[in-house]
Amino acid sequence: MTLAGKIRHWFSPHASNNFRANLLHNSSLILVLGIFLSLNLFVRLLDNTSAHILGFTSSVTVDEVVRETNATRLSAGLSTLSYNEKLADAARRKAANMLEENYWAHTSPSGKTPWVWFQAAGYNYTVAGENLAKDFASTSRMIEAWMASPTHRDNIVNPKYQEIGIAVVPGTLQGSDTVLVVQLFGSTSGGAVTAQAPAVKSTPAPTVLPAVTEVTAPVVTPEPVVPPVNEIQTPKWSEFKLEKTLSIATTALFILVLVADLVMAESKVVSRRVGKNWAHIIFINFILLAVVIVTAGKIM
Amino acid sequence: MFKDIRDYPLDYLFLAVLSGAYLITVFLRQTAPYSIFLATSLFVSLYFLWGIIHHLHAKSLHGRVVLEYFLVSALGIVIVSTLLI
Repeated sequence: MTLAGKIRHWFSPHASNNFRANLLHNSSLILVLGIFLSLNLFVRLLDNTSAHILGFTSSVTVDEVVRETNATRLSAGLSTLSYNEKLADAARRKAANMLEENYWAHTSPSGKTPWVWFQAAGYNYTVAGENLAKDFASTSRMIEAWMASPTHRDNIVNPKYQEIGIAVVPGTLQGSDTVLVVQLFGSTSGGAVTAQAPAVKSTPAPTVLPAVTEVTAPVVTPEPVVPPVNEIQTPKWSEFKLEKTLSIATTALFILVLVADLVMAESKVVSRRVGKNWAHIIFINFILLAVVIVTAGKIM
Repeated sequence: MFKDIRDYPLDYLFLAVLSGAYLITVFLRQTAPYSIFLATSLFVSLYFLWGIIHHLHAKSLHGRVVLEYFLVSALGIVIVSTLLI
């Protein structure tokens, strides 16, 4: 059988496959299930090797977060934020504490607020804010998610902020490999005055505007928390990303073959004793949508 | 192309409502993997049952068709579960 013939045999209804795309035959479905499970197992085994080839990482980098945040501010008619190493140190401390105390929240289980880390890093703020994110594969999607949330958006386009600090830290949080992104904003003076008024907050937001009297002398810890640079900066394939790609590719392939089978079988007016393609298409489409939701990152 | 949907509109309406309810549950409980797994298990089981009942209505139920719905359902739960576990 020629290559074209094989493709037709596997993907379109024809006399050679009893007028049903061979990929949709029960024997092929069992084969696809087996291959899918085997590939997933292989990816997980690869992740558990001593060399730790995979592990959850993403393409999010500090530089990209700063650049995209500033681009968003510029498009909102605001000034850009300058990168502040003390704020970045505070962000790394926060991320390290989240991994150490194993929590996904602005305040730690032991009661440490975000502002503790500003002070620990020696950043004497007059205005400060914090955005958190995890599990995002790309910076742009993460920024989009923040901008879609009113309270996070308020932080990004707050005209009072002058400086920014970012930490992108891989680790295991609540049993899952992830990449945490801590975005801290601050200003040590009154803040730039722009034409745009800050948005009114109707719900408790991660931004606080502390009174000057609340700012105590910074508690400086001698050793700054510095995550390994290579792990943060280098985008690489992750177990999660491979599994996500595998899932989306499998569902998309099935939808395409089902649609092609449906159209061709209708045009040939063949009668078959098989499952309903429309039902399978609806079912697999909703599974695909669930996969997209499950694999989307989270913000706080 | 839409003949089956036209012939059995109630069956497909039920499937659409079921799918919509599943997606809303996943969206609302996206931070709770166990809830998503339960919702997916329920959705997949009901889809399998839907297939059998629909083919009973259409008087086209056959062992091979039951196996096809079982395998498609299994593929659905395996795809979602591998991302949760």
